[in-house]
Amino acid sequence: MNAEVPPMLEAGLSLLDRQIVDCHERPFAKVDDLEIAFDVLGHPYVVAILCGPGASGPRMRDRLGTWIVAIWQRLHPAVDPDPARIPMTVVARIDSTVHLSVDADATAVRVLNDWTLQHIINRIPGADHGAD
Amino acid sequence: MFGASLETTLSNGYVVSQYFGWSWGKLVAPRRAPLFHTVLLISVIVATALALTSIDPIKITEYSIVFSAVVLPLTYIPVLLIANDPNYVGDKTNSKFSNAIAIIMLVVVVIAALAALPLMIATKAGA
Repeated sequence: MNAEVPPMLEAGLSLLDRQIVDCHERPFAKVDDLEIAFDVLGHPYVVAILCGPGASGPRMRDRLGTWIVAIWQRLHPAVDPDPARIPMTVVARIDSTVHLSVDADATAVRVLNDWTLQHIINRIPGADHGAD
Repeated sequence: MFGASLETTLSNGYVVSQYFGWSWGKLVAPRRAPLFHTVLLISVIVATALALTSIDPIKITEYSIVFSAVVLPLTYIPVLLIANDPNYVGDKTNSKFSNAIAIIMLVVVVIAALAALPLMIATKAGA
């Protein structure tokens, strides 16, 4: 693990709902939920960041959340999908933003992004024009 | 009118993209920010459909401005908090003087927000 990831933090305050950027500093998702495990001493630690409707829906704890999860499950290509996860091993730095050491394409959280790219945006003339 | 349409369309894209943390920006190639540009396209289609209902655009503008006054404290307060958070702005946090001015303005903004709806009803939105 990188030295710029603090060994201890208040996850609800400094991780949840924070912006995630990839190794090119491009924003692509937010921290929707966290996967927590316990070490041998019983101390909790963050294993992975969970993203997307499959992670944010259950946090709403009401009918809207149930609907969001149901629609996400129905549209997801997998039969019994798990929320997209980013392992903490690729987190390079945490300040007001969570910085990853990998490209956003190397994570599995951009399903909707890739669908709109393939079916809508790539068909527009000039979709390549503009800054990278 | 054309400029305002572009601005409100972009504003929709910024709000939705920043809420979900997607890549965004009017200078970014559509291929690099497909969700942002999809939101722009959907906004234009929905806005056109709304305009085609022959609803009075002046009335919509009047009501929108009143409701934007009502929600103003909800954007003002987070910006004020972040301006005081070194996690975001480093050593450029607000001085005591700017915070004093900001809190006086906050009072004004809250009064305007509370007064907006009763005034709209009392004056029948200027009708």
